[in-house]
Amino acid sequence: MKHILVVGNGLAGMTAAIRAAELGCNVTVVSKSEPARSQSVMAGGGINAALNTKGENDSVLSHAEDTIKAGVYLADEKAVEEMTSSAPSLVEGLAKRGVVFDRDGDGNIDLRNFGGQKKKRTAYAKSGIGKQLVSGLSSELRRKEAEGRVVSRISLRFVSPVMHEGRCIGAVFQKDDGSFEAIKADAVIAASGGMGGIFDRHTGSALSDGSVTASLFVKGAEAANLEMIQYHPTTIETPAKNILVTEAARGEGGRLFTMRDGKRWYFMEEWYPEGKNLMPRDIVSRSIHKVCMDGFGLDGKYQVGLELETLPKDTVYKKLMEVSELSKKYLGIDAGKEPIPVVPAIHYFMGGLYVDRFHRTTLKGVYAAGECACQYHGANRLGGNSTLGAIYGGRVAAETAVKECESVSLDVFERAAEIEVSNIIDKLSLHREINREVNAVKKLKRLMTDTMSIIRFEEGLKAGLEELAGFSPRDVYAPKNSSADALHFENKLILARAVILSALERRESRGSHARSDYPDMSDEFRKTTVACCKNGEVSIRFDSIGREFA
Amino acid sequence: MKGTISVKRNSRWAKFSIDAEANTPVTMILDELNSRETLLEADGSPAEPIVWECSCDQGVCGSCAMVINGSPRLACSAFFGEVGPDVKVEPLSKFPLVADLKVDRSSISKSLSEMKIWLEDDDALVSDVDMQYTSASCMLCGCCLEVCPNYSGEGKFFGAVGMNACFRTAEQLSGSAKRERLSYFAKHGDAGCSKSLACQVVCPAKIPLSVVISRLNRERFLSVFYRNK
Repeated sequence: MKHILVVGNGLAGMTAAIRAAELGCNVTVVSKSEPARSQSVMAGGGINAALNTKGENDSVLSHAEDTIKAGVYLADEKAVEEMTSSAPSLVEGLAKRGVVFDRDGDGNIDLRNFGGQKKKRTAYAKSGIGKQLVSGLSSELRRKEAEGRVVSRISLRFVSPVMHEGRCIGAVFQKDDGSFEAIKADAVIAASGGMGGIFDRHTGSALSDGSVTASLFVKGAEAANLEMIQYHPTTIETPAKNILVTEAARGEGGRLFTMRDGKRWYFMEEWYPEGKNLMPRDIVSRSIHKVCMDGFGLDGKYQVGLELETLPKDTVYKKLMEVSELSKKYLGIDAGKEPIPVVPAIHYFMGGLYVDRFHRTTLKGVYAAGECACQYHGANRLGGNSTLGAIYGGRVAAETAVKECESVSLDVFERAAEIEVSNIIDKLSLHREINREVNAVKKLKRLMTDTMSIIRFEEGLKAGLEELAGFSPRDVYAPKNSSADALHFENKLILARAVILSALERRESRGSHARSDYPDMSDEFRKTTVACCKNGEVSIRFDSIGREFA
Repeated sequence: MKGTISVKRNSRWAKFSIDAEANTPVTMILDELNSRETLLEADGSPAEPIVWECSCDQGVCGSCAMVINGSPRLACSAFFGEVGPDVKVEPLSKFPLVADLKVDRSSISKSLSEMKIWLEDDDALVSDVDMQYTSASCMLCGCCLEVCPNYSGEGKFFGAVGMNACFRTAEQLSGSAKRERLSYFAKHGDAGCSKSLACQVVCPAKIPLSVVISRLNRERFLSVFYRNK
C-alpha cells in the first residue's frame, strides 16, 4: 500500500492527510506539535467562496478575477480558476464536516466584505475562523486515525529529505531526546507554513520557522517569488511580537485614520474613494507607511488609528470578539470606546517552494501546499484566500502525490537514510560552540526584516546581502536535544540570501514588492522569480507564469 | 522592574534574576533567559537553556500552558506586572514530563479518540452556532485538567476537555451516533465530575463549562426518554 508522509499538521497538512487516506493510502503526519498549536488556528477573518447568497450576483469567475488582480497578474490563472471554482463546494463541505460558520437569517453560511473584493464572499466564524477550521479538520483526521489510515506523530522536527537517485524517498527528523529518526515514504508533502523563522516582528507562529522550506531549497527544490512578502496593514505592537487585527475589523466597517489639523483624517477614504479602507493589503500598508513617513503618524509615532468605536457594540464585542479581547488584553484599550493604534507588519509569504498547479515541487517525490508553497496569490494575497489556498492546495497535493508516487525497497531506503543521518551528524560535528543558534537567528531575523521592508531599494538590498555574508554558520550551535537547529541555521542563511537576491533582481514595483528605485510596474517582469540553490550557491531566473513540472 | 523567575526543572527550583517591563509576558521572559549567551542562575551557577513550548504567543494555541504562581494559565497572557516581581513557573503536573516546562499532552488526543470525537457522516447539524463556536475554541491546553480535583491522568474520567469536545460533537450529531457520544459523556465525564467547576475559572478560552455540562445532561436525559431524538 502507498505511504504518504505529510510534514506539518495545519490546514494544508491535515487536508492532505485526510485526502490521501480517502484515496486509500497509509499516511503519516509529522509535526513539532498538535494541530491545535499550528499557525492555522491564528487565522482570523474567514475563507473565500463565491457562495452568492447575498443577491450580489457573485461568481467563481469574479472570485478568480479579484484574486488575480490583487496578485497583480503574477498568479497562475489556471490554478486560481480551479481553486475558486472548487471553493463553494469546499466551504459547504467543511460546514457539513462540522466546521462552525456564522449563519445569516436564512440559515445560510454568512458572508462578509473583505479587502480587494467588491462582493460579500468571505465565510466567517466571528473573527476566529482558523480555530474553527482546525477543530473541524482535527476531528476528521482523528476519525482517519481510528480507521487505521493515518498515524500522527508529534514532537518530531524535520531535518532533511532522504534522497535516492534524484528522488525523495522519505525524511529524517529529530526527536525530543536529540536522536534522529528516518521515515520512509513513497511521496512527501510539505505543509510546513511560511518563512517566519527568518523575519522578526511578524504575526505568525514560532513553529512556522521556515526550516523545512530552507532544507528542501538547499537540497534542490526551487523557490519562487520569495520577494513577495505581505505586510498586513493592521497589527498591534506588543513587547513580544506584532499581533494581527483581522481585516474583518475593516470588513465590518472599521476606519483607518490619523490626525491632521486637529481632526481625524481618513486618508484611505480620501485617496481611494472607491475601495476606501478595504483596498488590497499591499496598498493599505503602503498608504499607512506614507502617512507615517510624511510625519502624520498618530501621536507622532509610526502608527495610525483603527476606529471601531463608532460601530454598533454588538459588532465590536461579538462579531469582532477576538479583536476587542486582544486589544483589551495586550494594550488595555476598550475597542468599543477608543481607537486601536495599528502598524503594518509582515504577515504572509506569497512566495515559497516553487510548485505547479498540481502542487509538484521541482524536487521529485516532494509536493508542497499551504504557505510554504508559492501558489495562488501572486504578488499580493487577498484576505480569506490563505485558508482557502491551504485547504484546496492540500487536497490537490495529496491527489497528485497519490497518483504519481513510486515505492522503493526498504533496503534502498535504509541505506540512503543511514547515509543522510551520518551526513547530518558529520556536519554537526563541524559546528563550533561559539554562538547560540537562538541568538544567531535573532540577528538574522532583524537583518531580514530591515532589508525586506515595505519599500526596498538596491543599496539597501545590497547592504543586506553584505551583512548576511558576515554570518559564520559553523560558529552556531544548539542544545543537544535540538542540535539540528544549527544545521537549519545554515540553510536559513542560504534561503535568506535567495530572498534578498529575488528582491534585487525584480527591478520593478508590483504588489507587495515596492522598489523606490524602480517605482513602476514593468511587463518584462510579469514572470515568476525562481531561486535555485546548487552547492550552496544561489542563482535567480525568471520563468513564464504557470509552468508545469513533469 | 527587577525581579526573579523560579523555574521548576525536574524536582528542583532554578531561580534567575530578571529585569522586565510590567507588560512583558512570561513567554518573553523565558525567551530572554534562553537568549543569554551564558545562562546563570541567580546564585551564579551555570544553567542549560530552558525547554518550553510556544507557538502563537497571543493566547490562541494553548502551547505555553504552565503553572504560574500556583495556577495553570497561558504564559503568553501572564504579564510581569501582574505575576511579578517574583514569578514561579512549573510544568502542568497531570501529564508526563518531557523536560523543564514541556509536557506530553498526547493523553488528551487519546481521550478524544476514545470518545469518538468526530462525525459519523458528512452532515453536521447546525443548531446553537454561538455555543458550538465557543466549544470549538478549546485549545486543548490542559489547564482545566490541572485544577480538576477528580482528574488524575489515569482511569476513565477525561475531565472538562473531554466533556466539552463531547458537547460539540453531540450537538452536531443525531440519532444513535448522538446517543453514543452522550453515553461517553456519562462514562468519561459526568460520572467522575464532582462539579467543582474550577475548570471554568481557569479556562483561557472562557468556555462556560457549567453550561456545557448541564446541556449535556439535559440531552442525555432526553435521549433516554425519547429514543428518536
